[in-house]
Amino acid sequence: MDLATILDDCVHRMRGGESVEDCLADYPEQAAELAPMLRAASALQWLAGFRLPDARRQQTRTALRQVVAASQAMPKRPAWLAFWVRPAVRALAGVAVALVFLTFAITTVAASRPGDLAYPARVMAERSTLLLQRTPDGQAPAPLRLANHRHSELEAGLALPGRAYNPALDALLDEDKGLADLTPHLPAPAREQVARQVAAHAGQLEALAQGAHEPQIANALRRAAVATNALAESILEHNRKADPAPGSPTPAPQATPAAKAPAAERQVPEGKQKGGATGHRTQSAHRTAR
Amino acid sequence: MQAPITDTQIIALLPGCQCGDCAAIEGLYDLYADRLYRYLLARIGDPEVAADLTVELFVRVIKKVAGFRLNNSRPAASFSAWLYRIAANLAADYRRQQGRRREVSLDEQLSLLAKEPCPEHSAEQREVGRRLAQAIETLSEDQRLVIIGKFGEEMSNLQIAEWLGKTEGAVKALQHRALRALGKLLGAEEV
Repeated sequence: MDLATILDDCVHRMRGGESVEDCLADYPEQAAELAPMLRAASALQWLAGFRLPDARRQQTRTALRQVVAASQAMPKRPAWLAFWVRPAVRALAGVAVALVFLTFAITTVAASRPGDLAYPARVMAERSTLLLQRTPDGQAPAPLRLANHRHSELEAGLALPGRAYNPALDALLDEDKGLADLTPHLPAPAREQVARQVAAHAGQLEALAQGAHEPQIANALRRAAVATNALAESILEHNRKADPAPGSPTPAPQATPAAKAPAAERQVPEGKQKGGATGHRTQSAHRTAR
Repeated sequence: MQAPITDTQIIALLPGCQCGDCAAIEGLYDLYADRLYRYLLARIGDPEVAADLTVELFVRVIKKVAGFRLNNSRPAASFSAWLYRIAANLAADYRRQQGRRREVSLDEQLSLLAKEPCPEHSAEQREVGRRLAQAIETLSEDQRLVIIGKFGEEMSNLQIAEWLGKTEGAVKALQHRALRALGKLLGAEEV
């Protein structure tokens, strides 16, 4: 017989009036182990003698009648409200509201244009997707596509009178700066591609400046073109240092007219246009463009 | 020993309780009052406090009973489980409050004892209750319910098994583990 069964038998006998010692005498081999358990069982028999005192019984009845009377006096909750206050229904409703809100927020951000409140969120979301696309061979194309996309947004913004162009211009400069910072880590063909594209952006900005009707916009675009061109030059410089072979099959991209602007207009000393200084220079030019 | 609560009793009383019928509520109270009082006494150890908490427990039950959904396959067991869960929460709330409350001063204890008809006997009872309740608090809820069913309600293993939805073997094993733990704790205190 296992100990649990022996213990159960002893508990049963103790209920019938036998003592702990009587039970232990019947199981001498298990006595040492049984003794503390049977003493605990004996102490627990203290519980069985308790009944709720009559005075408390009456007190509870009175309290219960008062609670019932108070609840009946209160207006009953309508059936439709009773359904909605159920915890499961409330939780489901909460999830549904959250989903609707999330869908609305995503749609708003995705459809935002430069100048909209949600536009910075869209720019951030688009940049964050680049983190997921980081592969050694695929680094350049995705940021390039994003920079081109920013340029299209800028063009579209400028085509609409009264439409804010600054957020798109800022975002484009940031994308080009990001590309310049990325260049040292890219393979040679990708570096060439980035340099050509940034130089192309500078040319396009210059062209947009020439077509702008308002002098303020034209100046801002021109300054942005200068800053972008400086970035393109720094990438080219880096390429020349990193890959000095004379017989390179890819012709070096030509600087745009904006590159020939006076050095003073670039706001940055020439000596700082190399390597890690690109970020600082771009930010400085960026501030000027704003 | 009280007669076990049957499915028929619960099926007959519950709809009335949920509609606020005083007779049904009092019927339910008569069925469970002593049982839940002993449960609270086992958890708290003080008969006076357990009686106070029993009043509070039934007030809570009556306020919440309208939202209770009966398990039609085990009406009495499911309703009892719900009641004991409320009682367990109440006991836990009380213990938490006690933990935060300052210790009662010796003078206050003596003045309380002086009001008792037989202070020495009452103090001894309280001490036994306090020690047992402290030991019972260390058990799992299943072990506690088995111990309270067996020693408070004097139920058989079969009745406890039906009440808790377990096998008789499981009840026996729970009783063994619970008594082993209590034996160790109470034995250690005596030393």
